[in-house]
Amino acid sequence: MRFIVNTSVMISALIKKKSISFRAPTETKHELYIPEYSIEELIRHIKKIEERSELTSEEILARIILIINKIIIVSKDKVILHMHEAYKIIGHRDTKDAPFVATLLAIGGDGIVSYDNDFEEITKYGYVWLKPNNLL
Amino acid sequence: MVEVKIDLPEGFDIVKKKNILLMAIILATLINRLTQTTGYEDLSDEEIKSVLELDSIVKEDIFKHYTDG
Repeated sequence: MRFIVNTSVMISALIKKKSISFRAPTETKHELYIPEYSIEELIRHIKKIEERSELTSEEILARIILIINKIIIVSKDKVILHMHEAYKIIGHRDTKDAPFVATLLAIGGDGIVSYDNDFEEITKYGYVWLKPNNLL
Repeated sequence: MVEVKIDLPEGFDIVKKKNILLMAIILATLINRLTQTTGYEDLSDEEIKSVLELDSIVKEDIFKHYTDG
């Protein structure tokens, strides 16, 4: 199956040493996708993540590389075509989630992996909202 | 706490090239092997709250790429 990985999963993978959020994306057999600029922005805020992390800088870097290796980045050109529809689905909960829903629509995926409850909205449209442990 | 020390031989080509990305991949593989031997846990409610605070900041900046210009 094809799932979008929300940044909450990637952040939690970089914060907790024995995180299921790190194991799940690196060991799952499902295809995982993220919208373009997710990694760039994650790295731009890496200091804030590091402040709350149990991991060393080297371990954080290593995990980012391992996660990137398992995830397919969907280009902005493809995602932006579905932003309007994405607003309709999730805009009333949090507009910031729209790029992830638009990515889901762009790839014709099955659902979104996230700790964020706002994504339960996608279940009304036949998609799956799941937590990282459900990937294994 | 486990300390990992890696002594690379002087003739090791990667060291000569100073290819940081390759070094990081090697390090990542070693760390991954280490972590595979330990248990894994899901986040507590408190940890989820902390993660979602950070997530909101990161998502806001990702969102800007899809609205500006």
